[in-house]
Amino acid sequence: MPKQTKRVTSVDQVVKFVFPYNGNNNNGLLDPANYKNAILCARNDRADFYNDYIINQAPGDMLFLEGSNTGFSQSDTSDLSPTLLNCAKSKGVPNSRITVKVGSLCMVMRNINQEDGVMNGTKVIFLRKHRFYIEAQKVDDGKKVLTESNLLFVMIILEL
Amino acid sequence: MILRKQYPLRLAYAMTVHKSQGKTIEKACLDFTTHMFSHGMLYVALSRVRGFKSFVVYEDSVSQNNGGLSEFIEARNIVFPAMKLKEERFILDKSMKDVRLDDLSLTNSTDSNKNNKQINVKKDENIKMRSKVTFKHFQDWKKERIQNINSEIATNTSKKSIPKFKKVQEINDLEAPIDIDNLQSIVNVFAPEVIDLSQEPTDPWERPTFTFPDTFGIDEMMSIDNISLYDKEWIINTFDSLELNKFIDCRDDLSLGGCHWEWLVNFYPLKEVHSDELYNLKDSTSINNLNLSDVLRDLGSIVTESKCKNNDGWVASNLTPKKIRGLNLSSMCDVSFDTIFKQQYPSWATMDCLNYFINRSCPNCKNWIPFKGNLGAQQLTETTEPVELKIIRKSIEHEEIGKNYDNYVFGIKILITLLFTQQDVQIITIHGI
Repeated sequence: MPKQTKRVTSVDQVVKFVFPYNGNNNNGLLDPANYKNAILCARNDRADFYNDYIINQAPGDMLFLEGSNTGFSQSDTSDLSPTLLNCAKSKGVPNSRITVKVGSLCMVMRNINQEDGVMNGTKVIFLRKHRFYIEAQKVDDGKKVLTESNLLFVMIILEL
Repeated sequence: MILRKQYPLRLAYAMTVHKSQGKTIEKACLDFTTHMFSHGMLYVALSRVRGFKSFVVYEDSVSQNNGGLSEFIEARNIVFPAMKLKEERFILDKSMKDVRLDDLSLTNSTDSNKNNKQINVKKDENIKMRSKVTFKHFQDWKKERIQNINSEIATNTSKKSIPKFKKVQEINDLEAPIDIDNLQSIVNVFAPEVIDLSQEPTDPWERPTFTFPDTFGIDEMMSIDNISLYDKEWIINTFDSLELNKFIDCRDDLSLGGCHWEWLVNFYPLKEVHSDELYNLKDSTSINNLNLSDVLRDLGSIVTESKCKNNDGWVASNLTPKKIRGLNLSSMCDVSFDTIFKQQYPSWATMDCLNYFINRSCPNCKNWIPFKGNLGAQQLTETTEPVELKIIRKSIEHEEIGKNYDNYVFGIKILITLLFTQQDVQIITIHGI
């Protein structure tokens, strides 16, 4: 590793460096100028740790996006239960309960619309939560023009 | 059975190194509280960012007290010095092998063309000059390098700033000897291929090597043997707009991973590159698994990604001939070619593409429409007799397209329009290499 790299010793400093306050009205965590920045981790659990830390500090109300489990009968006595399944975390699979705030930076984890470039790994700004779908806006590289194709409507789930 | 439905979302403030591969990040922080666990991971993490100002490393207090990671960052020369020397030699050897000229081709000049004879005469003179010069340079360089490495070892052992890993401690005992004589005993264990460190290696290094001269022109280009004639002429035709001298140093730059310089020649001046074009190159030469798009991003060019639609309706723009191979051609019934005459010979990729179309297309496909010149979609209704298809087929088999039918189909840029039975008319542009 090169010597010129700075070092930082607390999580607060990390967040302030990567998502600084740019003098806008926005908080640094919700500032579109910071959406190309990221914290890199070796493992997924560390990334989850940072994401939880940041989403707690960001202004706004918490929104919970929960997954639905259907087809489970209560008479079923097997060991698999929805609560156990909800605890499962693995790479590539989103968590069952996602905490999000309006304007927070998210990432799509499946190929939804390849024509408009909404694919696995594209960054997206969370806008609104509807009853059956959520609304998000694509973060373009460099261009900040909003067009129709820039808006994507994700409908995956029926909320309970 | 439980059916789970959920939003495919995830917060993206922090992500793993693997997920960040291929993306450029303006400001990043690397979390070093956990180890990097796979090969090349640190390189990926470090190369996401454009400069050191926009990069920060986070260390936990726990990991600092343990002393593992912070010292690991400052470790200078963990690699055993003899192995390092060997690795350097290996890399140099590998880098020279690609451009090396064969001596045999000089003596057995069986080419019947006049041009090739003239070139071969020039080859002899040039190679003799260059081989003398480069070998001397290399000898001097190697002596200096050995001295430098020895001095580095000396300073490292005196300062005792060697990392405190458990595994490394075993090597620390071995690292005490500095002299070449002591090194020799260790080399016999670790690197038996390097026989004598004190003497000059004889066998692998005495062959003539090819270094790029200060000015790189047509003659030098034609004197390279590894490239076929077709590709040579194409490269020469595109030379006018390129500044080749920039690429001379590319091979020695290890950050490029020994990248094939022709690739860089093709794509360096372009500020925006389509990833499909890179896809072609990757398949064409299986030299290494280098991520070319990453390299080009490091060089400062913007790599855009392709916009392919679904598998069923393959409406695509900017398809390369190689990429068409994966697609289903059974629904295609009519094909027409369109060319722009910039080039006398076709490249291998366009020929492959045409072969594929001829062999794999729908048996009902009878109307092959080779056009002359640049045509639009309006003239698709003009049909020609299928006799011309046979001409194409013959010419591909005998590889005489350039001579007999150079006014015909082939060129740098081939525009293929496809007619579907059920869908509308779609236009697919194909950029050959």
